Amino acid sequence: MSTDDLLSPSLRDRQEAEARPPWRLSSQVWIGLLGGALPVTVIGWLNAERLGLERERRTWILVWGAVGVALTLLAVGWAVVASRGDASAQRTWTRLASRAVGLLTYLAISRVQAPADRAFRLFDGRPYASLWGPGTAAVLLLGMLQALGAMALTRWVAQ
Amino acid sequence: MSAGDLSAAPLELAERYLEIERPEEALAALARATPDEDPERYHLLRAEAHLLAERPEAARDAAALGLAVEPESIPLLLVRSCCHERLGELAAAEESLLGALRQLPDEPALLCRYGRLVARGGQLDKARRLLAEARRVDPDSREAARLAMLLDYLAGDDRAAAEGGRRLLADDPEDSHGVAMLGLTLLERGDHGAAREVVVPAAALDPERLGGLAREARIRTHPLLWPLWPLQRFGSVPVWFGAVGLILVTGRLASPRVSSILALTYLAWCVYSWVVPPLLRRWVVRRGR
Repeated sequence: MSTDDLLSPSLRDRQEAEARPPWRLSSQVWIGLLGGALPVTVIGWLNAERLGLERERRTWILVWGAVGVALTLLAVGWAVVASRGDASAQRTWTRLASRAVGLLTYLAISRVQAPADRAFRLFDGRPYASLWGPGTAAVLLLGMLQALGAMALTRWVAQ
Repeated sequence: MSAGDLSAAPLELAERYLEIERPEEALAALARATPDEDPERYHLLRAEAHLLAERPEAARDAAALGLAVEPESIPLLLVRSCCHERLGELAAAEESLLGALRQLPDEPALLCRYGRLVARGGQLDKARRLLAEARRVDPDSREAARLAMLLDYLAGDDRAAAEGGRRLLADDPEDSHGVAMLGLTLLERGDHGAAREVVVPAAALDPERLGGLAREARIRTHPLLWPLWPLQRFGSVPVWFGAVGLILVTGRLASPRVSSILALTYLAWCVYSWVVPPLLRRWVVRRGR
């Protein structure tokens, strides 16, 4: 790599961070726990825009989110099979599986956001935005959407 | 006395005021000068004064006036880059900084400054290449050591960042910047006791820069937070997996009763972790006032 290349501008084409400050990374864990993989992915994606994350890194959020949702559906299918018709066990295992995968998705997605999040804390000086409103909405709406999908899958597996 | 001496005097006065960090007096002195005698120095001092007074917009405009007269001036380009950076205008900061760097491509301090800027913009790979270039020119550059630590911290390599910080402080134990970065890194690693040992004594010497960090280290090492050490050591997700695993296994192997006691204990511990830290923080902040 030549010096000329090093000294050519690279921040010009960069996606500028949004004017709104990002959400705290550690708060997003609750969305993974309570809502599952789908809402934590959507919140992570929106936060990546607020952080001005590079496009390539941002794609990784979608990749991990897709893996998380697929794993959730797989785990739910497994829970249905493993509980052998016991409705209460099925509910418990479905919920646990969705939470476990939601938390793992959070871990993956928060790693993608971490460098930009640290840069925000170090350089920006503004406080974080509150995640209460958007987080609750994501958990209720998208968590429910994911639960409905899982329920449809449950019916299909059970047949 | 010639006319040149008369107009030079206010500039010198302004310089002295800036040295003792009194920007308003510096600007008052500059108001008595005319830019024509030494436009580069005049506009530079105005920009620096506004920057010191936390008015980066005014400082940026002052630097731009100077650059209109002296477009290649390195000090003016650097101060304008600093203003843009302060305002979060990273692309404009880069343009000004590159204007200076193209004139001095082998200057380690400038290479490191550019590395810091692109790192802030999320381009850690390019920042590492700039760091390597700066080290090629001067392997012992202190700026390079600082940039290396910053890059390790941003990349999440807290162990390497902490080592870099300790090396920086071994050379100069009173380096506030090194103390701040090392303290931050140790807090991030969950090594709160070590952070406290590093930051609290240094904060007595430089309370303005390190006071907030020292308070944070004091809060995190408070006895009320000792029960939360697994959270700090392992993180919330591994703790959840551990707790749920334990609850399930005891339900299977021991009795449902033991398992539900464990579940209730875990829940109570979670509630403790939500309620106590914010209350403690509020209390410490109020007492500190």
